[in-house]
Amino acid sequence: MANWSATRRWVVRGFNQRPGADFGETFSPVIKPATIRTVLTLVATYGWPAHKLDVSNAFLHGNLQEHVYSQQPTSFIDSHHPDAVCLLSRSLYGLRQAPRAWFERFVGHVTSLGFIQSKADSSLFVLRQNGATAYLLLYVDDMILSASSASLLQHVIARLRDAFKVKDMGPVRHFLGINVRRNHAGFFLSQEQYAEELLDRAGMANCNTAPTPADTKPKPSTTEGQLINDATTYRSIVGSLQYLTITRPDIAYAVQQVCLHMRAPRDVLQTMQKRILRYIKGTVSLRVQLRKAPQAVITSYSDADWAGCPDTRRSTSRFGVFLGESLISWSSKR
Amino acid sequence: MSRSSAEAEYRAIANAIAECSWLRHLLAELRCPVPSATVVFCDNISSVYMSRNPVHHQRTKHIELDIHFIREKVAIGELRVTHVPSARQVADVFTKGLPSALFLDFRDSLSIQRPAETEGGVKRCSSPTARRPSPQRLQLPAHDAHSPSPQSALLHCMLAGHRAHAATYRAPARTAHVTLRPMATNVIVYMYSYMMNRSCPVGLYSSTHSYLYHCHDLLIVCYMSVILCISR
Repeated sequence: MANWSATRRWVVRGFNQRPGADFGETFSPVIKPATIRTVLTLVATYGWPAHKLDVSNAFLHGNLQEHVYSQQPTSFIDSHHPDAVCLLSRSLYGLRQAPRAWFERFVGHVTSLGFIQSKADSSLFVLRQNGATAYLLLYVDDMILSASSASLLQHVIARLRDAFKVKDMGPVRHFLGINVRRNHAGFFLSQEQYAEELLDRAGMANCNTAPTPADTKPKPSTTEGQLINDATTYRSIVGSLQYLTITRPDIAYAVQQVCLHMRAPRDVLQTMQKRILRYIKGTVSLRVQLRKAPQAVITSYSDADWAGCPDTRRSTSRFGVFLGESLISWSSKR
Repeated sequence: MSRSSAEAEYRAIANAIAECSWLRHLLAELRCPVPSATVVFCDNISSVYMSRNPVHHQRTKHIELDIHFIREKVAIGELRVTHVPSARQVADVFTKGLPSALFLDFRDSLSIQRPAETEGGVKRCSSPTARRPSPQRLQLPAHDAHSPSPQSALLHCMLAGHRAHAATYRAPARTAHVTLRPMATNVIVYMYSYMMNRSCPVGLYSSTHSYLYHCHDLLIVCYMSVILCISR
């Protein structure tokens, strides 16, 4: 929306809702990054077009299961019935169940079009029609739609427009703050801008660079070093770093280490966090590559660090899963 | 809490397999089923053995559940656990802080690159495949009139595969000195076809442990060839 001042939105105070009476389930699934990478790898392999779609006012589409009453919106009060309240039939922004109601409405519509909701990831929908295939990835109100032919793609967009106000943003360039580039070899995902903003926010925009994100010293114990004063900033930066790992598996280990002691961070960890930021400073332009995978071959590497944690002596297990030549999924867990 | 490093590695394999199974389901739903077995590379020999041998060991008594989970997948041919030398263990970069040379080396294997290197997708040489062992690369050449003999072609092919795996056979000249007796070649041919039928990857590794590991297969193949002879 170009002109924010022209936008008015009725937002209800969901924090006044009582669980059980005004709302039940609120969970709404979001897509796994591994699913995005898998689908993009396949799309690159098949050479299909992939468009980004955007739904305007997504949350207003949801149908409410519960009886929710709301006061009349300020300055739109009916002068004849000033004491009346509104019974909501559709969801509004601010309602606890709004994301879930929208998701259910969307699932209902696309399944009526013939899409099948994936069991492996409930935000992925697959359409198979007369030998043609379409993939649809949904993240709240952002979508990536890919189809084996341009005509099917347009057909699906037209059918989506039957129910929602859908904007076709053309070939996918950005998704969830991730930069998407495409060439004949495949897709490239990068979060360069996000990384620079993060460095700015952490006050490390002009720091020296580090060659690696973590040093080779043994892992720190929870009781090592002094407690830091500003734990909130520490946690917020760690959260951002975690988001950055979507396109940066190289910092996955280092970020996992600084995540371990979020409750009471100590200066040792702050040093480690700064080291990650210094490493990022030198490598902002790095991006993950999703190459075409002509043969669907899954290869996996697994490794463990036995009793690596100095406090609990629990082991860390890590793995990376490749589809063809693209790294699809990775994990480092204690 | 693990009682041994093998157990920790074994649990790591179980985690990796859980993810691989998920990915297989996902790909099946995307109408792209994976025909070949998933290969899990692990740098711990004991856990490689544990995944395939129905042995019961004093020190593995308490990890029964994971054992069954992995063995079941191995038994139905969905999975294969293979040894990889630590130097080529890509997951190392997720496990510990590494010296910068090693780190940069592994980072390239994670298909992360700078834009300049990848613009146009030209750069493919020092791509992950150059470092990562890719067993499926090994293709048996067609038996046409130009190829000298199936055996020597196969041998050449396997040595070429070996070159890709480890750096032992660098110069092609050295491969000429390698001669195999016909019997051994036949065994390898059987081994190859046996593994291909089971859609398992074929690989030669330089490490002594892996050698033993492949001997195990060789033994099966020897039995197989005896059975084949009898059936003929």
